[in-house]
Amino acid sequence: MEKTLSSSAEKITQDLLPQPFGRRGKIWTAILLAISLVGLIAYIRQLDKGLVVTNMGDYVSWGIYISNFVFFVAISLVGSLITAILRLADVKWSTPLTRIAEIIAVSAIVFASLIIIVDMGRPERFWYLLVYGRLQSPIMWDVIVIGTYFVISMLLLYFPLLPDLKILIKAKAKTTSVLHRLYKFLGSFWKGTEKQESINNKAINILAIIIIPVAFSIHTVTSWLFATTYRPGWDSTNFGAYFVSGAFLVGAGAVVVAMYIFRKSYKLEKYITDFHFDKMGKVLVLLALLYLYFNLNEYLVPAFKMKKAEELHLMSLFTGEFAVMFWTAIMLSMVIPIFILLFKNGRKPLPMFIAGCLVVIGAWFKRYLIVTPTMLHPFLPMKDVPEKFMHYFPSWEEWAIAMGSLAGALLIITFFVRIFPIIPIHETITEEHEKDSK
Amino acid sequence: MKRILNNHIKTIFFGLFLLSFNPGFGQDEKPDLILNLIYSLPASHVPELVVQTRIKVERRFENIKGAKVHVYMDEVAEANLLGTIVTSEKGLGKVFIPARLQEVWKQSDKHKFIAEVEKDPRFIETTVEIEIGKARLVLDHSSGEEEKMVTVRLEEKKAEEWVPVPEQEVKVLVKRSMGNILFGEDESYTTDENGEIEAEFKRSNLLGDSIGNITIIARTEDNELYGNIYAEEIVPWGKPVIFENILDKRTLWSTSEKTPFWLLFLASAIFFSVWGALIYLVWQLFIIIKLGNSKQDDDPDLKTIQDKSVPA
Repeated sequence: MEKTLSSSAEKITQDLLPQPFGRRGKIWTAILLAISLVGLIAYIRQLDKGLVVTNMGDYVSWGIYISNFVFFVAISLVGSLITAILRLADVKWSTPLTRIAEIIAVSAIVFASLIIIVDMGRPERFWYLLVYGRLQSPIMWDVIVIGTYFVISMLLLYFPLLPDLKILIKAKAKTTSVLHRLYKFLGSFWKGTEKQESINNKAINILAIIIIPVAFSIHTVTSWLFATTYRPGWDSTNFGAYFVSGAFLVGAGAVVVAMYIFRKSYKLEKYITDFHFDKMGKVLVLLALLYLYFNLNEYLVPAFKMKKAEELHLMSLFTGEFAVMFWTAIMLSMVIPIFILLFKNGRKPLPMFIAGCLVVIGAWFKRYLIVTPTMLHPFLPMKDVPEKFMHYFPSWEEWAIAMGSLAGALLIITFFVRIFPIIPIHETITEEHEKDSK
Repeated sequence: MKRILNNHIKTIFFGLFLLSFNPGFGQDEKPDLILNLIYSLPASHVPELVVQTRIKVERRFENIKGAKVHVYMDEVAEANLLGTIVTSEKGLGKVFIPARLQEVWKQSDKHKFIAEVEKDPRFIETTVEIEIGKARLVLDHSSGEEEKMVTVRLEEKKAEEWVPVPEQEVKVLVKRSMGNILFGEDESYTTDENGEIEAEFKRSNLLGDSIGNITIIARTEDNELYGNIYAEEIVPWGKPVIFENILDKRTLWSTSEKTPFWLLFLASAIFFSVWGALIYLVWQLFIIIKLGNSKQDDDPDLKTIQDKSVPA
């Protein structure tokens, strides 16, 4: 029995140890590095010449950087969903997904912070927030909550990694010397004693509890950056719940995409099974229905009233300049995924991957639609201004920086997968042994 | 042949006759310029001349922008030029008596002001003249137990002396931020043989500034002899108004030093409880590190869990 347990543990370890990049991995990394580099060059140009290189101006002072920020904050919420909520509910099938969710959360929150600094224009003034900050300002709340969430996510990534670090240290032959040194630095103290395990489990549980209200706060407060203004399109009491539900949806969508890619790339069919896709599919369709409900509230109610100030904004979304993008985003991020996922065959890996991609892409455009159209419909109609003030399309620098930030987030995930096991080895072995002993 | 020629000539004349009714056929007539020249002596200020240019187009008055008007004192001469005005969009322009003409101004108690418009294709140019005597308004106030009175005296200058002027209309007003209101019950007063008018202040609830001051204005309006003359005086007859500076209060929209206490308390409580937990967890991490670095053999509590995960 023990020999069987040991051989299954060995098999699991072999399967889940981080693997060097193959040809496709290297091409993928090279593409991401190239996009990030172009983004960096564009940012240096922006630092040199100022925000004049963007197409933001008097009216559209928040553009693609802010919609990217909201997108990243939304995606980062998945850490709390998968790692915390499902862990606290003792949902065992979520074990292979927890680390995927946490690394997506960490990389997203890192780039959410960076893109905000990019949008500031003068990064050296970031310290003013700390010295001259007003506690009454939602921006201040957002800064505090994002910082707190980042720390919690990092701890929630690190504590469960400790037992795996020991495995990685022992598997010296299967890793490079640089990585081996890194593993030793991060976790050579982990012996797996009862006391260490007890403290570790307790810490993870505390983090899982804390992260839920903090995660809800992070996206609620981000929504308040908009909802605490009077602008048509933003002046809504629905925004907190609307943003949080959207965040859960896009986070779950991102996890589903990551599940499919890792399963395929690292041949993890035994660990990320059709069962996991089926379960995540049900979660995703529930979240999509919930988000659709909040969208109905968000648009149908003001459309029914059609207050004068809201009219121009709403008509531009429903039938005007942004109509194609609006309806496409609704279809991509909600309607089509719901139809795919309602059926059992739609919850198979490939259809799930397609649905996940649609959710993520639709969500990005949804965030753009939250930010830009409202800025183009101020209270006083635009008069006696140049034509270009009345429209907004990001400049190449803005596109490059936005795409660079997305590539950067994907790079963090890519490098993490190269360095650490994407599925918790120790937890998987423990669960396997518990199953076998039953 | 003769008949055909006659018919042609008649047709031509008939056509010309019809065309003469066409306004485009005749030469356009330029309208007359309506030029006004107004003399004003604001309280404690130098005298000023205001020029207004308008034309009448189909029963409506239209202001003339960009009309060039030369204003002279006493005679049309380069030395007597007060200034050249180019009128604004509202057809208005202003000029003051320059310092170089101070001696000319002092020489006489009456002066003529002449406004001459330069040639302009939009209107028929004109000249206007006014004659103004030097005058002043002297404002005085008194307040007893029951009543508050204002006395205004209109005086004109006659050979170094100020002589009261009877039978002239004077208005007394109270200055407000968006306009002026009547001081007393009457819209205007007529000066008596002493050149004086008296008005009683009955607005007991009128709001003043932070210490209760209001400004009284006495003026003549479009007076033919003296123009527009103003006098002002500040009197403590209003109710003090203390404006509350809302930024002084602790609100969500005030400065950082004025954070509401409830927000300060709530935000601090949340922040320190969450970060307190995080600091505790980091401390727990250090305990894990310490436990790991202690020697196993020395510490009986460090019982290693069978390491199921390590490959054989």
